[in-house]
Amino acid sequence: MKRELAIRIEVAVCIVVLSLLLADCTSVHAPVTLTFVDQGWATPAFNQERERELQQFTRETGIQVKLLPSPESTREQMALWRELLRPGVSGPDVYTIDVIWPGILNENFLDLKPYFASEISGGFSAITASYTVGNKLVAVPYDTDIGLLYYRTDLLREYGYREPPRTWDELEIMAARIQAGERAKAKKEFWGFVWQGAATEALTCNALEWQAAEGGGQVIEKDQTISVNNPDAIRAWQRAARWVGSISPPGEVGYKEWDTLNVWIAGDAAFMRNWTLGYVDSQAAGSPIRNKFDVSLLPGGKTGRVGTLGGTGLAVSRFSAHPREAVELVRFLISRDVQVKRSRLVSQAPTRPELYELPEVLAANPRFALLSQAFRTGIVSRPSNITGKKYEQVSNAYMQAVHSVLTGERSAPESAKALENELVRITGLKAGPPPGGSARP
Amino acid sequence: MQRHTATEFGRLVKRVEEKTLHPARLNIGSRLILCFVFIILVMLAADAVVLWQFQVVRAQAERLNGIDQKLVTLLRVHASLLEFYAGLEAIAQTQDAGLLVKEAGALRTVALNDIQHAVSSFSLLPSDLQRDPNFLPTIHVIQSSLTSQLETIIKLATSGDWRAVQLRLSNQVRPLESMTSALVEKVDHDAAEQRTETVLNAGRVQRLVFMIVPTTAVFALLIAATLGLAITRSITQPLARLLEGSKALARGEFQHHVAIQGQDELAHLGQVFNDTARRLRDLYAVLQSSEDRLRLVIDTIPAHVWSAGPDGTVDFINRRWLESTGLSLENGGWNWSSAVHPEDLTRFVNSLHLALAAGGPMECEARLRQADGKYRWFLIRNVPLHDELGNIVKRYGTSVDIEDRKQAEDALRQAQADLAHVNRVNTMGELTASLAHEVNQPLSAIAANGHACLRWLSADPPNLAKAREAAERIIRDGQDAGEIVRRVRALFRRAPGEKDVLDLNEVIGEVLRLLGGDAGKRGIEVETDLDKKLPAVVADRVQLQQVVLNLVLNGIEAMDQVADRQKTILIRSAWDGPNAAVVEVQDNGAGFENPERAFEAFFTTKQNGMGMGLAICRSIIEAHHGRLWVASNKGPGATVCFTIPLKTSGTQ
Repeated sequence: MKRELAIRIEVAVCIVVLSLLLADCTSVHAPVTLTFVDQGWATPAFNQERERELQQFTRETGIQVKLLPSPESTREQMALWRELLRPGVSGPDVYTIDVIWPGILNENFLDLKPYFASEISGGFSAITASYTVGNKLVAVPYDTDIGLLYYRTDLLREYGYREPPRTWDELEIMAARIQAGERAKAKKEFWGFVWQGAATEALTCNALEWQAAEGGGQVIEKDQTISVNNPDAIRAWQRAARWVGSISPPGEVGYKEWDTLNVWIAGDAAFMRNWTLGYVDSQAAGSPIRNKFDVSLLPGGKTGRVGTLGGTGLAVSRFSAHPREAVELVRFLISRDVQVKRSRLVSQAPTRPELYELPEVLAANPRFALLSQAFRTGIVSRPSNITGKKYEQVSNAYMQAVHSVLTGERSAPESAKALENELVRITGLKAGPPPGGSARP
Repeated sequence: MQRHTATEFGRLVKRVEEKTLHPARLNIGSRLILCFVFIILVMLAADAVVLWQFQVVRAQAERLNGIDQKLVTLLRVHASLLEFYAGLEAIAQTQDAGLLVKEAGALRTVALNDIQHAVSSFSLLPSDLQRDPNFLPTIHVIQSSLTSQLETIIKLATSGDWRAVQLRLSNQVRPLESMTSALVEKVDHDAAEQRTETVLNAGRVQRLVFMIVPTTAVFALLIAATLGLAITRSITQPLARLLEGSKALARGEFQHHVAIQGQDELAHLGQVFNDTARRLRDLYAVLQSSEDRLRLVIDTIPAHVWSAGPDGTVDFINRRWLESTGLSLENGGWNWSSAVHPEDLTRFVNSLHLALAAGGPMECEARLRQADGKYRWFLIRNVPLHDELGNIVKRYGTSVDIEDRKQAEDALRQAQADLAHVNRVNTMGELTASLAHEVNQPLSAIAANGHACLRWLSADPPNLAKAREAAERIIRDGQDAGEIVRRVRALFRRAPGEKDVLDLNEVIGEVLRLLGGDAGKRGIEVETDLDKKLPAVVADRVQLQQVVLNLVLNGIEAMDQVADRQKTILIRSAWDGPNAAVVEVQDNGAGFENPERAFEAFFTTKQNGMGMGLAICRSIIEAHHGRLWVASNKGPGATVCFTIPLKTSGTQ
């Protein structure tokens, strides 16, 4: 007993001395740092604003946020995301994911439904549905986007047009006329209409807009019918193929969003098909077309004017070490204040319908009324949720098929037939006419 | 505060000391080992801390190195990208799609190689440096962007849209530069921070090491001193107690008890010491009681017990002596000679001196005066006690009362003498006829010679010469007869055992002459084989004659029944060794049926015998220090032998 006490005293002395010696060596736990990767367009104005937002978040919560840059095209982004979303990789905690990705990356993210029930209940249901796989809310809508028509108000006025074209055919005529007029002014580089013809996801969006507006179906319908091989779709593709080299540059088949925007901002195009974010750069100080353009819904066809739904949602990685903080960041980024501020400063379209009625939002962005309407009625969605993981293949097959028509490699009917077969092979679904569309050729 | 700490520490040390000062539960060896182990552990712990701190500094240095590497890697990527952009722009200026396709591949390969190199060298960095989440994704972005940008540009160029190419180069490709620039800036910033941190860490470690080393030294020294003091004290205190106990034991204080604490070796030693002391005490008590008992035995046994020094000076006599002699220690008790009978004193003293001189035991019978003034016979013996070297250190003696034995011996001797006499008389009776014949011969011769003498005298003229011859024969025969009678008388005279120097053969001859007639009458041939050169013996003539006579008579009688062979009796004398003679009487008669019983008194095979003959013969011979035994013959009959010492120059 006494001996034990003696030993205990000795040990205690040792511990006290050693701890005195080591007291200097102890460290303090670092605050939580989240990593955030955003696929948004990295325009300087946008980056600046986001930086401010994140600083505000850190001030409010004490949570640090590191921002990762991302590649340009969705395909490359997808590759990077997949690279980062692996167990054991200290990848980002919060990701923005493209609206077409939930079906593909579903398993890598947490179900956000328990955290954002109230936020999503009041949102655009079509958009929310795009981020929902089964019953799981893979991401919450963050940056909602839609294909829009940018047009030069000055040129329209100059050439006697009061308003932007309502149909694709009208656009073709107007573009040709303005182009001819401008070329006559020795603007050799001037083009009537620029869009995204490179074989990327953007082409899928463009082509979908063309054929959907003409009643050519949405590639794969909600009833799981493959609808590409029909006269309306073929006609829409043929029309676009006709644009290349006529109202659109021959390099159009290699154009991505940036190339389109480059030409547009340079003032060398009368019309441009692009996403909402093109607005900020077009309107930036020093832009040659500042205050010389406006935005409208895309032209329509037989069935109406539709724009492809784009945009991103915020998702929380399943591999995050700080899921609670990550959810906090998401909550902050979709908060009303941030959305209002963003809409004002970078013209980002809010995800909540009620924000479109705020005077402060509309004052800065009069065209948001248009968007609000488009989000309710003028949306065409890519078949990402129907095809799930096979969407990439489907989209790839589709864009390649359309691209081959644009470059003239194949005739549109031939390509449509081949695409139909391939889609049947990929998805195992049945081909059929689009709902309410014309009979098969 | 410092003073307070010091007192606290002092109290702590004291407490530790208290606990460790009496760690007698532990062995001394274990205690020392524990002490050293503890000190070594303290040193090791301090060394470990110092090493750890050095390790920290080293890690910091490595980290710094890593950051620099990272920065260099990044700068290389940046430079490579700049080169790539510049190259692309230069080609774009030419508006030569073919050249672009050709060169772009090479440019991309160079840039991608550099990037790949950067990635792989990044992966070699310490893992905590790799944790920078921006680095790899940025590189990835640049990598994939480069590829896709290049593809896009080639596509635009091949479709001839050089304007789109240039726009893209300036609007999208160039800005990539800013991505790496930002990264470079960030890493540079990090590196600066890390450097500062490392320098701070190094300084801290230095301070810590400067603090630890002397602190440990002082601490270890303190512990060593405290524990050393404690252990020394824990050893010396019990040792002092043991020393005290040993001294007490040396003084004979067996009851001294050493106080014992703990369980260590010294405690064991103390216990052993106490056990030893107790056992010594017990042994001493046992010894004392044993001595008392022994003294009681010595004092009460029916014998005188005494001891003397090597020179014979008596230093102990028992109480029995005093009681027996009536002497007291104060009153001549030691003067043993005063108790010895004056007649025996000389013999006793001689015997004692002889024994003392020879260094051997002594045995003597002497009369001692008793308290009542009467003398009694005692057998006095003493033996020497030798040490290892053979020197006599002590003599122990006893005197046992043998008065009764003496008297019995005398009585026995008398009885034996009487018995021998009776035997002789008895033998005489048996010899009567023979003696009568012996005596009758000279008597008849005397009578015949007397008649002849008378006839010669009465003849005319008287033949005086013849008469004289006859008279002379008468005288001779008379003398012969007288001699026979004298011999017979001598044989049966009850003479005391006077020993004379005798010729053994002569004695045998006398007996044979006495028996000659009788033997002849019985038809027995008497043979002799006597060694004429035998020296004389010292013996009682009559008794020796009696023995020989008895033996020959026994032989003659044993042959009474023999009819089938010549009865022969052989008497032989010879040397028996250098100092004795042996006499054998051999007959060829019936022999002994039971030779051993032949010597028992009153055992006889004769019809008219007393059965005392051989027993008496043996006692006579043994009285002469000889032996008598019966030996078997090869043929029939028996041989009885006896030895008798020869007279040598040494014997009395």
